[in-house]
Amino acid sequence: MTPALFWHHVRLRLRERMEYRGAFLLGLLAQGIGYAAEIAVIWLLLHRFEAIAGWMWPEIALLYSLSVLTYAIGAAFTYSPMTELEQMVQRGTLETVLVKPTDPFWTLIGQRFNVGYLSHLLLAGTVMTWAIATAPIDWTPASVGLLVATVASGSMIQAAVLTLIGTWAFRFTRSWTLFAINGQASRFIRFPIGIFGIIPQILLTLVIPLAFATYYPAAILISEDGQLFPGWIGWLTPVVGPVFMWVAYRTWTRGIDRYQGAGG
Amino acid sequence: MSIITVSHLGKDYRQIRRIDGRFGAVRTLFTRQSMTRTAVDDISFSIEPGEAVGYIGPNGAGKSTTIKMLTGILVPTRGAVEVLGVEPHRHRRRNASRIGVVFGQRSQLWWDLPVIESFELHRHVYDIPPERYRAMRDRCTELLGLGDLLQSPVRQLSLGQRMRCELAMALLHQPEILFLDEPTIGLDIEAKDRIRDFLRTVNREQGTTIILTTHDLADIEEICPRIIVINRGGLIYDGAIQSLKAQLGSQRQVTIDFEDDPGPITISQATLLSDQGRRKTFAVERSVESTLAVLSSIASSHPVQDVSFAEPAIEDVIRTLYAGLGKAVPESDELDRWSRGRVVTQ
Ligand SMILES: Nc1ncnc2c1ncn2[C@@H]1O[C@H](COP(=O)(O)OP(=O)(O)O)[C@@H](O)[C@H]1O
Ligand SMILES: [Mg+2]
Repeated sequence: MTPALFWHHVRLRLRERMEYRGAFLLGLLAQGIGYAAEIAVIWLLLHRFEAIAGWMWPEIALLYSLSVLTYAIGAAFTYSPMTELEQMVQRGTLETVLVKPTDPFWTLIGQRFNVGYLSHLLLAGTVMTWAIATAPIDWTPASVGLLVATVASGSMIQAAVLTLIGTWAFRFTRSWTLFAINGQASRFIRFPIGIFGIIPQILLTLVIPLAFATYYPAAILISEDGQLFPGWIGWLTPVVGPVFMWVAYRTWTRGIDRYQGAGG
Repeated sequence: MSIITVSHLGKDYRQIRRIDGRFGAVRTLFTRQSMTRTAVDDISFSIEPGEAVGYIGPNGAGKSTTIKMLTGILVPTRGAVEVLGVEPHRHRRRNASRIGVVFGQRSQLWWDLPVIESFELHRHVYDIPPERYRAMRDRCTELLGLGDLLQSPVRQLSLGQRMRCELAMALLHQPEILFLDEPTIGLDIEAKDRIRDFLRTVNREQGTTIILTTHDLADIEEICPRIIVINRGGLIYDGAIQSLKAQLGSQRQVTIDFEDDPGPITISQATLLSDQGRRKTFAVERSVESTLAVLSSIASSHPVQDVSFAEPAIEDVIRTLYAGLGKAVPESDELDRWSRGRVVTQ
C-alpha cells in the first residue's frame, strides 16, 4: 500500500469522525482532563518528596511526556484496529478486508485510524516542551537526534505492543483484560525504572521493550546511570522500535493466515 | 479453458472450545480442546468464462464457505481450487484485483460518508484509470438508478439502495468474476427485481462471470441458467435450471384470501390443496395463461382480497433431488449437532 493510499483511508476516517463533531470534542476534553489530573498528582507528590529515585520534577515530566506522546501516536494507529479485531471476525467484516488487493494490516490501520488521541498529543507536547527547556540536558546533535528518534521509535514500540496483544486476543480469547493490563503496564514506564524490582526491569527491557520508548533514552539525555542494564542501551532505541514493529506485523499477518486456515 | 475449477474440495472448521466460568479465558488457553466440523465435503465443478451460476442450498449448507475458498479468504482443508489460473488463497491479493465480491450481510461502504467517497477510494485501491472508472461508474449509476444516492451518506440509505451501491462498487474495477453471497437477502420484491435485472445485464453485456449464492429460487431462475445445489456440505445437483424445474413438476401454489368465506369452490384447472375458510390454497399449472384463467374465474364470482404465489422453496427442491437419487433426506437435526465433529485434546 502506498503512503498516499494509506492517507486516503485516514482522511476518510477523519471525515467520518467529524460527522459526530460534538461527541468527538467531548471525548477529547474528557481524556485531556484525565491526563491533566494525573500530572497534577505527580506534581503534588514531587512537591512533597522533591525527587523519585533521584529524578527531579522536570526529568519525571520528560519521562511522563515521552510515555504519553509515544502511546498517543502508536495507539492512534493500532489501538482501534486491534481492539476491534475480534468483533470483526465475529461479524465477518474482516472478510471484506481480505478480498481487497491491499495489505490487510495497513488497510485496517488506515480504516480505523483513531484521532481521539489528539488531546494526549497536545498535553504531552506541552509538558515535553516545558521539560526539555527546564531539565538539565546537554543539547548536542546526538541528543537532539536521540530525542527525535525516540518519539518515532517509541511510538512504533507502543503500536507493536498493541498489535501483539490484538493478535493474541484474536487467536485465543475474547480478552479485554489484556488491553487493560497493557494500559496499566504502560504506566510503569512513566517512572524511573530503578524504583521497580529486577523482574519488571527485565520484562520492560527484554520481553516488552517499552522502557526503550521512555526510560533508557531519557536516562541518556539527563546523564543518569544505568540500573540493571547499562545506561548505553538507550542508544539502541532507534533500532528497537522498527525491529519490534516488524516482528509484530509479521506475527499479526501469521495470525491472519491461521485464521484463513482454520476459519473464524 | 475453465475460469474456475474446483475438485474434491473440502473444508473443516476447527473451533477451540471456549470454557466459560471462572478463569475461563485462561483455561481455554491451556486446555486447547478443539472440535472439527466439516462444512464442505468433496465438491467438484468447473465454470466457464461468461457463465452465470446459482449456488444454492439451505442455511448451513456450506455456500458461504465455498465462496470464501473461491475468493481466497479461507484455505481449503482438502482438494483443490483454481480461479483465473491460480490458487486463490496463495495469491489472494493478486486474485482480489480480478474479482468482485458482494456480501449480502456486510457492507463494504463507509457508513457515515457519501457513497461516492467509497467509490473514489475503491478507484485508488484497485488503481483504476480515471476514464475507465468514470465510464463504469456512470454506466452502473444509470443501470441501477443510483442518481442522487451517490451523494447520500450510506447510513441514510435503505437496505435495497445500499445493496445497489455495493453492487456498483464491486463492478467498478471491471472484475472478470463477480461473487455474490446472498445479495438479495432481506430485500423487498422491487429491490430484488432491480438487482436481478442488473446482474443479468452485466452478465450479458460485459460477459462477467457470476457466481451467486442464495436460498431464494427466484433469484436463480432469473439470472442463472445453471445451478449447483448443495446440502450439508455435499453437492447434490449440477445442471440446467430447466431440467431441475421439470423434475420439480409443473405446478405452483396460489393462495387466495377472500373477503368472505365463499364456501366450496370447484374449478377444473385448479386443485384445492388446503381450505381454511377465507383462505384457500390451490395448485395450478405454472403457465401465466392458466394462472390468470383460474384467478379471473374465481374473482368473477367471489370478491378477492389478496393473492399470493408460492414458488417451490429450496427445501422442496432438496427433497425432490434426494427422491431422484433414491435416498432419504438426511434428518435435519443431525445438522445441528456436532455430529461430524470430534473432540481433540492436544
Ligand atoms: N467460522 C466457523 N466456525 C465453525 N463452523 C462454521 C463457521 N462458519 C460456518 N460454520 C459451519 O459450517 C457450515 C456451513 O456454513 P456456511 O458455509 O456459512 O453455510 P451457508 O452459507 O450455506 O448458510 C454450517 O454448519 C456452519 O455452522
Ligand atoms: Mg451463508
